[in-house]
Amino acid sequence: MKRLTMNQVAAASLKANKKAYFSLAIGIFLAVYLCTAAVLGAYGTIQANQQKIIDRVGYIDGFFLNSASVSDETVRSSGWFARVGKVFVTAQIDKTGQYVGYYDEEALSLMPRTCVEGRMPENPGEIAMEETALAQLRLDIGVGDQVTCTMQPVEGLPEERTYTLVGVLADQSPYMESYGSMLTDHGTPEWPNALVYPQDAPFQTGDPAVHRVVTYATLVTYSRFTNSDAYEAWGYNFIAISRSTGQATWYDPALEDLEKYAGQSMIWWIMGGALLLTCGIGISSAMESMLAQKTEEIGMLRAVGATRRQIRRLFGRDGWLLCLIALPIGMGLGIVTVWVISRFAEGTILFRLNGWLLLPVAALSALCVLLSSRLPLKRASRQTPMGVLRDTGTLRKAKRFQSKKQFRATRLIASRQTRLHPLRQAGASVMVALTLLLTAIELDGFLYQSDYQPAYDFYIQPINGHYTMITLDSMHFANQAAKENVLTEQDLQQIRAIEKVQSVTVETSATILLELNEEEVPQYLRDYYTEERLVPGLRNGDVASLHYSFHNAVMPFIFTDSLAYLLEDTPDQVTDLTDEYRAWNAKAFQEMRAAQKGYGVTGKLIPLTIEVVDVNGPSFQQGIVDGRINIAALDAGQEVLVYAPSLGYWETVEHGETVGNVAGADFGEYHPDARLKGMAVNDYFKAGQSLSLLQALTEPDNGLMERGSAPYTQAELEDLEQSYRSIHTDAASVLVGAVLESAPLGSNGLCLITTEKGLRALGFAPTQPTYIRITLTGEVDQTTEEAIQRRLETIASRAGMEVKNRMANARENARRQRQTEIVFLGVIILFFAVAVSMQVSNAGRRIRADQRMIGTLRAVGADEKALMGCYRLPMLVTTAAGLLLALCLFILMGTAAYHYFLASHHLILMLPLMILTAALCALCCLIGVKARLRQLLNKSVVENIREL
Amino acid sequence: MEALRCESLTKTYQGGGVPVHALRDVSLSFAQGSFTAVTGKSGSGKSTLLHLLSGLDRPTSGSVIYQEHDLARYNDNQLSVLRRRRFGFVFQSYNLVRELTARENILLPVMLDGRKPDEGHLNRIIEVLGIGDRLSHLPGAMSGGQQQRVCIARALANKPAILFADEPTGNLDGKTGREVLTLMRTVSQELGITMILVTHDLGVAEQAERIIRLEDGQVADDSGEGEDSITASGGNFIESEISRNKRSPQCGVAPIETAGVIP
Repeated sequence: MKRLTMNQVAAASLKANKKAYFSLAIGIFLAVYLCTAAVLGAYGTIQANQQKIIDRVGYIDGFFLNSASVSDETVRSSGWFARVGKVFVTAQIDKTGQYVGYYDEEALSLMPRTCVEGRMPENPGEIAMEETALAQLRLDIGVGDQVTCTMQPVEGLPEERTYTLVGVLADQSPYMESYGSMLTDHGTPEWPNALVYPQDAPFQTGDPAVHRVVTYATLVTYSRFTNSDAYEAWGYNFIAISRSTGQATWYDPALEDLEKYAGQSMIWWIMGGALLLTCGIGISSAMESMLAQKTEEIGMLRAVGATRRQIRRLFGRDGWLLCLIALPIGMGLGIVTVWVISRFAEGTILFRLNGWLLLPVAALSALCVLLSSRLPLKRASRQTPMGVLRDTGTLRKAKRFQSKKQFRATRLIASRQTRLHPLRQAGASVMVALTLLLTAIELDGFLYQSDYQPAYDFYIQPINGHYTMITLDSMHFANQAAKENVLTEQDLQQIRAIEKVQSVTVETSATILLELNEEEVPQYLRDYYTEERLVPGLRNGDVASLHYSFHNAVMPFIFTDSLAYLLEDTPDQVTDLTDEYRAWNAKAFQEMRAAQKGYGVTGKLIPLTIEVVDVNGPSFQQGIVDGRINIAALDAGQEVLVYAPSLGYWETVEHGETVGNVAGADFGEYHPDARLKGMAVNDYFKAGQSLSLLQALTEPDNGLMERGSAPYTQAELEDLEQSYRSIHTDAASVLVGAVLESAPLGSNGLCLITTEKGLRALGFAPTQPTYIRITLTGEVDQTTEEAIQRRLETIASRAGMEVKNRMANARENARRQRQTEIVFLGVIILFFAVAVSMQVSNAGRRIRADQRMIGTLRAVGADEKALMGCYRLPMLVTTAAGLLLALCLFILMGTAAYHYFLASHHLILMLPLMILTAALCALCCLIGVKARLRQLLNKSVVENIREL
Repeated sequence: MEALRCESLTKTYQGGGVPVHALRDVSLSFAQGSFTAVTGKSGSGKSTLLHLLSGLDRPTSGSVIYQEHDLARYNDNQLSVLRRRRFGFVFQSYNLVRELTARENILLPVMLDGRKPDEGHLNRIIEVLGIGDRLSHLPGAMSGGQQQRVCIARALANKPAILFADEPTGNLDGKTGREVLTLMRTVSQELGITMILVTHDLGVAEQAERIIRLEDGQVADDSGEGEDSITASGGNFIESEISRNKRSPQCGVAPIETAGVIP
């Protein structure tokens, strides 16, 4: 006799119970499908971001700055790197900070350059420039034009060269800059942002500097390399490229990259995880339902001697067989889905089919099936023959049932079934909740998009560089270039004269010094900034503490030596400094004191910012506590406003000794357990008070005055002295027009306020980027918009600034939003369909399982309406549970993570939408279930009863 | 007076491609209040006949006439109303709803009809059937005999005009079987219920006023043949239900319109 294998039994069982297995098959298929879609989607999203990085900086893992001293052979044979390319920097253009150079072939292959216009140089005398380089050089030339510049070789004599511009390149050099990489390493040329032909005529003097771009060899990481001897031997000048941001970093980007990847693909993981969980519950419920139909069979098998393991294997094998069938279909459809999404969401998701990814997908799907079917199988195999015959499971659960004397039959049956199997519909509930949640988020996005009105249409901002503020000791110097580059009143008038320009506002700020003529620092300033927490070991109110505090408020980076200016004695008394610092500090201190005397400064200098804002409007008026706002006096530079907020020092339990210096009583409202330790209330600034202000500007930056480390060479010290000598100061005496206790200035603290005209009248240069915001009036057609843009670009280019068109951005955003919404809508429809089909198939399974009961009910007089009642209630309960879950999640999102998930503020609109969607879902389910029930009712009562 | 009749009743099952003739051209008539036992060997068509007569199944051909109306022309909802108000059925395998207690199972037809139960009537049935102490138990917690009694109580709860019983005493011991049968007869006689019982137990069959023996789907022997030349009652089920609703609206009888219009 031919031996019957378990697989054959399972296959026969599948064949014989096609309908019963259908739901299970659907669950398994969905698990595989969603696993595939989630993994490929997440991978595609990361890949799309990777592609953006590749477009910016190519494939490199890092680069060595100015590494000419290390030979090619040494680097290549070290074993640390797979590929090494060289980027040559030949000269600086006209002392502008823009560099010319070229890439060797390997570097060009590692960091491909994209031409926005034209082509790469192919002959000597040709040059291609990055977009920002052209703007910064203020060259009003196009492709094909000639340009003549004075080139300053890296270590040689200047030469005049004429080039033909053959291409405009997409920016790459800005991504190669890292804080502390280029600017602080004196003598290190920056990344070339203008490229010439490699065989271009060399400069007569000075060799080019060489940066080496590399990719790691297999298994090499940033941390492994930087812990090696090679890193030390080659001068510590290796900079990594973050593969998630495309930016150069001095630290290991691996962890940051991992976080970024997780963030970029989070939506896929969340959705995929939630759906997989739902599928798991669905599979579990389908398996449970299928096994419930086979209770008698299991009881019989147990009665004839089948072990629990055999039962588990026999019925579990059905699931595995279905899994084998579902794997290729689910994976195929998952791949197609991600491909379709990637076509719609171009740039957001990149379709990349990686065979290695399909293995974990298959494993994950199999794991999902294994875990979800484990519990029902375990439960089924535990049944005893007598337990099956006597239905002890139901009896045990039904102990709490109260026998009723009057009832609505079908409702009672439905409620009893729901109580006996409360988790039967859990998967469907989760699915309903997800659908509702997605619908709400979709509506939120739609409403946000339709609500969004940009506050202004264009803005002009500096490209970079020229507004760098530098600091040394107490003196805050702005680059002299900043003053030169400020837009003139004539520029602003030209902008205002453009047709359809409604308003032009200017926002910037300048760091200035307030000269205190009093002997003692006023109490308000002491209270405002002094607190033990800021510098442990310092006493409240002493000058050192005060100075530290000012620096904390004004400067993001503080240096121990910079507090010297407030001290009568040498800085030696202040802090524990190294000898090297001490020597440099003393030198700097002497220079500074000499400079101060030279400027006629006798009092103590307090660094403050002077904010340039549009003070028209009620917000500023409401904040006045003394005086009034006189715009004419502000414009004339006769008056300034002083924003002098009261500050509370709060000690919180959760932060231990930490004190939050948050303005006013607000902090206490949000932190009931906080204790107010003290207040800083303005008793110094008054309307009509005269203030002595000073601003110090340097000649073009030589990189020394802003560096944090001490100079080491005599030449550098001489340079520093030269810098001091070249300091230019502007002083002004001004009256306080009004004192404000509140002002719409974001997180700014104590500061002065004036207008754009006022700042110029005072003779101060902005030390922060100047933004000019332009609002247009009426409908602006495309031609007018382009004309405005061109005009603005001409004006902006004169000041090394760039124009941002918010209308075009808004249009582009709207287009992307629409694309996303279409994809999202598709996902919602899919979710909706899955939620409905899960419920209907659940109910269908139950109807099949309840066939005998239905027959009995029909025999005793139940009609279709009554029978529908048995299935209506569980369905409504499922939908209601889903709605409740969605509402809870929605509220949670609305509070905990509001800004991440929800952009608009129409929560109240979303609740009825969710209820409406839930009602629609319930209606579709009822129609589906009615159809399933009808199939049974078309048979006779006897057939219903006999079926089992 | 005729309670029910069937004419040329035929039922053929298509089992595995081979037609199985369960009933062949059976014509019978049952008098109001009569007690008929249908006997025969296994597979003779007893249960099939009962199912067709009670409207639980539809014949391949022929007709079942109740109050001069062919059941074949009733739609499913009309048949449901008929079953819960006029017919009672005792299943051989009980067919109790396992989520409901014994009491709730008994009350099912009454509750489905939206009526208030006749407590006196129910108590009596329960007392006679001896299931008073099992009313709050689920079917799974009862023995086969107890479940059978609950099934009988359910069939009698709505005071049916016709009681169909498929081997009602098959799972009961001899003494209990006789008691149950006596009760069924007593209640039937009191309420004028027509009782049609299928049994292979000749002892049970002998208690019937009329015995019909089936063989190969055909009537082999009918002890009441010729006696029941039934005349139509002239009553219409639907009409009588309407008048019953009018008489006792407090009973909460569902409006008969729910059954639809009977042609």
